[in-house]
Amino acid sequence: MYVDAMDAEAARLAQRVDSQDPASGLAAVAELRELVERLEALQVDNARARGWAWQEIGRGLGVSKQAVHKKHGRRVLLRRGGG
Amino acid sequence: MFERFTREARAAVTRARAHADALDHDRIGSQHLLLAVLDDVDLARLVATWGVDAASVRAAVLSDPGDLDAQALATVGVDLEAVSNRVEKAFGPGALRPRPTRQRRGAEFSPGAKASLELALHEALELEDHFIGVEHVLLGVLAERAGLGARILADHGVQLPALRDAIRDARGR
Repeated sequence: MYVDAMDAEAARLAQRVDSQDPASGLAAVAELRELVERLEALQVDNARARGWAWQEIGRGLGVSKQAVHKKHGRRVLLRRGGG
Repeated sequence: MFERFTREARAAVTRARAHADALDHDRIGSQHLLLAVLDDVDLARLVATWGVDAASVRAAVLSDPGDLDAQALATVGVDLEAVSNRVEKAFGPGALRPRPTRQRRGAEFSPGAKASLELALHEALELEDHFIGVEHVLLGVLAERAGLGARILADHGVQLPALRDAIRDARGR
């Protein structure tokens, strides 16, 4: 059973290497998006901790200050032990 | 599901929640079950023969970038480990983990942790025991191969048959 599971894993990996496979490409995009979300949260938290205004953060990200505050405001508040 | 768990095994499940809370994690995963099991002195001594201890598990948990799929990212040329290393250098261990977005009400069990506990039952049957103890929980964590707990154990070369044998041997003494 262990060997079967290893074979299945190898087959799955081999399939992913096929760059034309839509499943592989879409999965990669989904993971990239998640990675970007986490990096964004990290950078926004850091900027706020350093006293950056939402407007400055929005400018850095290329979005409006309302957009960035709506997306991150609550989390930043929670991380500070507020809200 | 918990009827056949021994008092020690139930206590370990409860401690898993405490470990998740202490690490500020939203969900109780197989890695937190593993940490709880390692609070048991006998089991800790047993897995120490593979070089696994609470400190090394905690370090591995802290440096794990959460549930991101490194293989999927590699298909587009992104090296998750490299990204994680850079980010952790700047922001500290675990910086790439998902950041809590809601007020915490105590962590819930992840699907992987639930699967580990179900596999603990299978392991009890495998060892012909009529109860589920902390040793079966440890085997269950290892048997849930996709879980972080199992990956940490596997990285130290711990394999199911060998761990089962080690547990049988320890009982024989």
